Amino acid sequence: MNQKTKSIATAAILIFFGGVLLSLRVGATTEYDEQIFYLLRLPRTLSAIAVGGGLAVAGTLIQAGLGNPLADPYTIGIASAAALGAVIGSLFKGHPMLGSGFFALIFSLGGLAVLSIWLRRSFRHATEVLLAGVVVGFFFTALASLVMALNDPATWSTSVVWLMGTLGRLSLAESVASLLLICFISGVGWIHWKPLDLIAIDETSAEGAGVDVAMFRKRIFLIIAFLTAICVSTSGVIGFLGLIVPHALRRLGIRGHFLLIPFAFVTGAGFLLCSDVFARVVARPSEIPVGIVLAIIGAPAFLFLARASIAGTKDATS
Amino acid sequence: MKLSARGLGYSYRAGGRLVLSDLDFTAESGSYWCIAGPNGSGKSTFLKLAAGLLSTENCAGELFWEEKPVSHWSRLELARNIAFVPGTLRSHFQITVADFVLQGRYARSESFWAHPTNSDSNIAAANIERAGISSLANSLISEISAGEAQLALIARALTQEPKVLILDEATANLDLRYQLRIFELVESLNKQGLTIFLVSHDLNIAAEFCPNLLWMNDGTVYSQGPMAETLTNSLMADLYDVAGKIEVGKNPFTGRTKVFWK
Repeated sequence: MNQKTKSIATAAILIFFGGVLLSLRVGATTEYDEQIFYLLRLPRTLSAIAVGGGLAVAGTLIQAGLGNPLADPYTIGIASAAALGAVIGSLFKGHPMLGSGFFALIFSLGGLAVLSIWLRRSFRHATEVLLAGVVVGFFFTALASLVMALNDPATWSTSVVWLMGTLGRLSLAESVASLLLICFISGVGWIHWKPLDLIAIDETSAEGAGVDVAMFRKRIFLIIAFLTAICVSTSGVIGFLGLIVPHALRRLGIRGHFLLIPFAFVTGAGFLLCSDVFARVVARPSEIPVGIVLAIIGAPAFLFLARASIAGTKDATS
Repeated sequence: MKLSARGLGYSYRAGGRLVLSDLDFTAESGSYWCIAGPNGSGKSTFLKLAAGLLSTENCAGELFWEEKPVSHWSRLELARNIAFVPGTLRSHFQITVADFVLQGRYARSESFWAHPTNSDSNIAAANIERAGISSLANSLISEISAGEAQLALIARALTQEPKVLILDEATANLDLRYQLRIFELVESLNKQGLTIFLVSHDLNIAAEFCPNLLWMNDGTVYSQGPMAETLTNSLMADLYDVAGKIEVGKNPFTGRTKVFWK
């Protein structure tokens, strides 16, 4: 690990722990209250770590697996399937089990099954995987809109909040389960660092070097789908993070997936924790959906970073 | 390694156009073949099929490496024996030349998650030097020229320590200096025992270096044999419709076959 990588690691860890501290302490009251801590702040903090880390890892995996830096975890349509589940779930308002989160998980796994059957012979071709994902995404979005159009807005209004992304939904046990699952699946993704390094550069030359591209792409796709399914059922649809975190880290010079995947987890979690704290306090007593805060802060920050790194490259090559 | 194709046919989709049909060809271990022919004659498809880069689902006939069908070789076994050098390298992602060449050790590592060993790094560094791109080792692949990228691709292929090297239009779009460097490097590799297949449209430079020529047309073998016997006026006129416009003769300096424009 060179000096620059160490500096980035230090910054990522500082953002992460800073985010954890703020998330556990900041709110309507700064006094320690056991109820507030265990029922609200701790589950919310754990959810943010799970979703931020999970989406950033899923984004890293999909960009490498498809050799496309513009792909994000939602490109493969799983989030749209989850959104349909959430809208249907909101029709069962008041039921203890059949909520948006439950249906989101079931539908995203269903979406994954549809895609896997459709693509069973096509994983060798990145474009086909991407196209199938986008088409499946449109299909499920249309179905979600249909369900909304056929029902009274009052019945599905809660799902709209969910579709914008919110972290304060899970109990402590649920958030711990979500975090453990996401850490485990991210770890499974991490051991694929080497084939990812090769496929990201060029699928033909990866195949020539001995990588079974279709087999690894299928595995990576399953890992991404599970990560996305758990993330969306934890927090609703939080966009932007999966696209921007791996992209930004690559621009900072973290290129190999052995480092990129854990870096993405820590940075994604830290970024979402900080954004969530901001979303909670900026318009108190009401709360802004964290997905909106992420995009508003993240987009200009990313453009600034992109510009700085382009200038850096020009300086280096001129 | 010996390559043999018997009645080989191929189409990219079931019921689609036959890109290869009834192709019979044998290349002995250690031989050096230039594969030429008009665009769309199936040269790249044949070599990609031989390298195991295409699914054999829509394949007819037989294709063997050392009497073992290509479909029976695992992806890793193929990569340990056969290295394929594509004509271009385009990537949206960045990597240094040194790391890119080191990726050639993938098929030789213990597992798909194992880190490269010191010996892997030494082999990669030796091949970077052999390809003459040591000064570029820490450059990003996006920052080097097309010719340098081609040399990096060859260095990576050699890092696989293959017995067969397949170059698919590896010198297309390169200036004379890089064309010469690549042909000289490939010639020295053949002298060390590697079996070489090289697709090229530049028959004059190929004739200077390649001892054998395989002409392909319409997905099958049109003619094959030693360069001097197969690079002829009549064959070129038939294949490229250039009767009366070219004359095949001898290079006055090297004595090799040469195509002259009239």
